Amino acid sequence: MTTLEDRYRRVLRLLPAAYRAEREEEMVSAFLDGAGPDDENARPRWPEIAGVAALAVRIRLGGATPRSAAWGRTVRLTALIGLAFQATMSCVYLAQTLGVYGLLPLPFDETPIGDPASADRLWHVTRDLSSLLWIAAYVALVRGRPRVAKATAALGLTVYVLSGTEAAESFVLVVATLALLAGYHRDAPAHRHPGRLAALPLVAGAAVFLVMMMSTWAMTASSRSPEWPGTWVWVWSWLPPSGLFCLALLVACAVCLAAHLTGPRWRSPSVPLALAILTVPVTLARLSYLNPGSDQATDTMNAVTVAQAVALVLTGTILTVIGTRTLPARRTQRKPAIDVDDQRPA
Amino acid sequence: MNSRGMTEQAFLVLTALADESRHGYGIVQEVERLSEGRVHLKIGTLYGVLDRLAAEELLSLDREEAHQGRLRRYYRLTDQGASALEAEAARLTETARYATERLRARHAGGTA
Repeated sequence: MTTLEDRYRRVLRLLPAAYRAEREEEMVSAFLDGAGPDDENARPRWPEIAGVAALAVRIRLGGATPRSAAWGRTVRLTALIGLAFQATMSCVYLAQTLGVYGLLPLPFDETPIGDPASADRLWHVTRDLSSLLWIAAYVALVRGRPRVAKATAALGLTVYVLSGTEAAESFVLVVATLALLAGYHRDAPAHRHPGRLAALPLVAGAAVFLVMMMSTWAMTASSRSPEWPGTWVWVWSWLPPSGLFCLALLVACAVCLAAHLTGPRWRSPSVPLALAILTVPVTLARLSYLNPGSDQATDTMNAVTVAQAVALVLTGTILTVIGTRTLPARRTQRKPAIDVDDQRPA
Repeated sequence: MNSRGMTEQAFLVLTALADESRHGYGIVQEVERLSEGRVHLKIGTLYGVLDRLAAEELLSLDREEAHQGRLRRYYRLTDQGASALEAEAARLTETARYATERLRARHAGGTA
């Protein structure tokens, strides 16, 4: 075996074992036919490696086997739930933006938005309106336009990173965008959801906005009282985006567990696995809120944050176990049709 | 073919197999020749296309050979693949005809 062949075979390990058992020999043969003369430094070029990696994603998340189809549904569901949450939060951000710019009579503090007609104002407006990209991505995905969803989500993530907003809150966005890019490949079944699902973030966003407004008002009022921090300080840990997503995930996980226990009719690998995947970035985001302060309010918020993280890890673990047990069995590996080992030159 | 139509890569692979069965690298070479060097299929990409076309029964395995101690699988176009290729070629010809007619009208009208 030459150095180049050995290196290419290592690249092919990205592919599932069952696929390699069928295809490895002919892929190596085709690759070596097109490769130049071998030398010690020869290695597969990056485009070839990228081609194999893309094939690996398609096979692992495609519908060739019931197991890969289940993983494909899992990844697509991860993207859908992640984008649905971000679209919901985007509706909240847009309502807040209208308040900040004085278009809605909302009791917001002075927020720096730059002087009118300045580059600073343009940047603020661009950043604030970038929330629309997540709404567009979600609606496009629901309406069966994954390409548009991918482009708008990637742009939304870029603007989010450039805006320097809390990095930890971007973990969910990164996971959802990666799931979107990987799960909605050409071989994925096209699916167009009902139109009313597209309106879900608007309804949920309005509800979240009202809850957040009331909570913020109540907390701000109580912070001015001599009894501060009072008994309601724990609410703060639920108000950041990751806190709200944590709450939504814990409720969804409880419903999923209850459905699983109800009977086999409601058992599916994709829902628990998608929820389990999402608990990871949300847990990391929550842990980033731990604060070394030593006052009573900080201690309470830290305790709530740790409790959130523990609950997410526990439910994530349970859902992973349930999901993997429900997954269809792996396909039996097949040997290549002809054995070439005997004919290969030494 | 599925509702999303035929990609250029799939069209070129089917065209490469229209006259004779070919093995993996043979298809890569033929596609490059047909596209006048514009399309160079990576091996991973080629097998993704072959898998998809085989799943749609547009091509099938013809035979297996050992060449210099390595496995070569030859693929051939199925009757269904030939019909799909014919339909796609007719569609592209029609589109090209529209383009030619409109360009001719544009030149005749003296539009810049």
